[in-house]
Amino acid sequence: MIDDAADIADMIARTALRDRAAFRRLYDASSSKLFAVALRILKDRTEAEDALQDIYVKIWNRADRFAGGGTSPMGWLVAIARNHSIDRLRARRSGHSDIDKHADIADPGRSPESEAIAASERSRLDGCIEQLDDAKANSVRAAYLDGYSYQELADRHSVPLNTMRTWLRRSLIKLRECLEA
Amino acid sequence: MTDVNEHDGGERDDDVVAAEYVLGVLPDGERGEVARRVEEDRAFAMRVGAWEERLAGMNDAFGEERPPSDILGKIEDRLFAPDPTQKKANAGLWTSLIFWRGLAVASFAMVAILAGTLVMRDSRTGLPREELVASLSAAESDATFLAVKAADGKIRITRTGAEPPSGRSHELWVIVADRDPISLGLVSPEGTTNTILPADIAGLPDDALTLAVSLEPAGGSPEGKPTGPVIAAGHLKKI
Repeated sequence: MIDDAADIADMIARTALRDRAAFRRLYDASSSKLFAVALRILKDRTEAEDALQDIYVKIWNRADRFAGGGTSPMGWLVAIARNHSIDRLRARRSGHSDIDKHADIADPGRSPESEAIAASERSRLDGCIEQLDDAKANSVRAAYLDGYSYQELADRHSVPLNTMRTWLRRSLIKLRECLEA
Repeated sequence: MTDVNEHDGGERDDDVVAAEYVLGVLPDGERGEVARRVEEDRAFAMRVGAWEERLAGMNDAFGEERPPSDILGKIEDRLFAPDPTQKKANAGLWTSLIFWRGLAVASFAMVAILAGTLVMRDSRTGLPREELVASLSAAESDATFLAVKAADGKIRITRTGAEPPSGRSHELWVIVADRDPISLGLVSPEGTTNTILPADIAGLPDDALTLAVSLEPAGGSPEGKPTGPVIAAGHLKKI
């Protein structure tokens, strides 16, 4: 990122104030990231492009809710992009199961992305995720990065839905403890 | 479809639900319910925000991918198109009303009272006058303000919501597109503060102006531009 967090926070605050030029700068500074998020979760270029439009319409409309202060502005933007992409994914998948098709495209157990990442902030989270069993660590990453639901994760790991849910809930509690230690 | 409580000894841990929501794993129906809760329950929304921060360490793994160059234009068409259809224009109006969300009932009452006094004063003096009112608020903030702009650019502003935390000050700004925010000075925690728009701003159409209050160190921003979060903002409206 060329722009540091304070710049992005400033652009969001100005967007909240209906400053269109700031909104364009915000788009320039963040759209490559948010497009990557939509693409990773939706795994379809055309749909990711549509999603990206919706995401920035939401950002325009919700910019006034950005709390500022200690909140990471990029994290806030990515959260909007993830939420929207996951909602779209659920809408698309509901009624029919095409999990296998998606499983071919992204194997959450793969590690190129861990090579591609370098920030110190993520290393702490990664350290905590590493402390989980492999299957659970992979499930956390697959859910976050690929938008898999409990049902899909359960199918992938061949465990009952409730078992997966219990696994992940415990894993999340462990993560919280580890991050706050 | 899933009995959550079965596995948690009957204890439903809000923080874990927030985490599941952020992770994105909840089944459709439940995800929708939780999304609504985020909108309505501030304490819960803060839990969600905390989890977004905790898990943001994975965001680098998404990498970056440049979108096609025509997307921004499409977004701007959707947001700002003059009005291919009347519907769109209405949608724009409604979205701008987001500023009104979270507005304290007290300030609604104030608007009503103020509107009443202005009308009365109008009828007494018989003079043509145009005062505009801006209600300043933001959804995740309990600070609200009411500002009145007179035709000569004088502004009166009154705090209607939370006081500034101790050691901090509320600073009023006027924002015009493509310019840096201009400070209109501190908002007194008590009573009404009087200030005035710079002459070049006062002459602009009222809908080009946004008033905003930021939270600054005591005595105001040391930098001449907002350094703290914008905790309330609003547009001037005729009443």
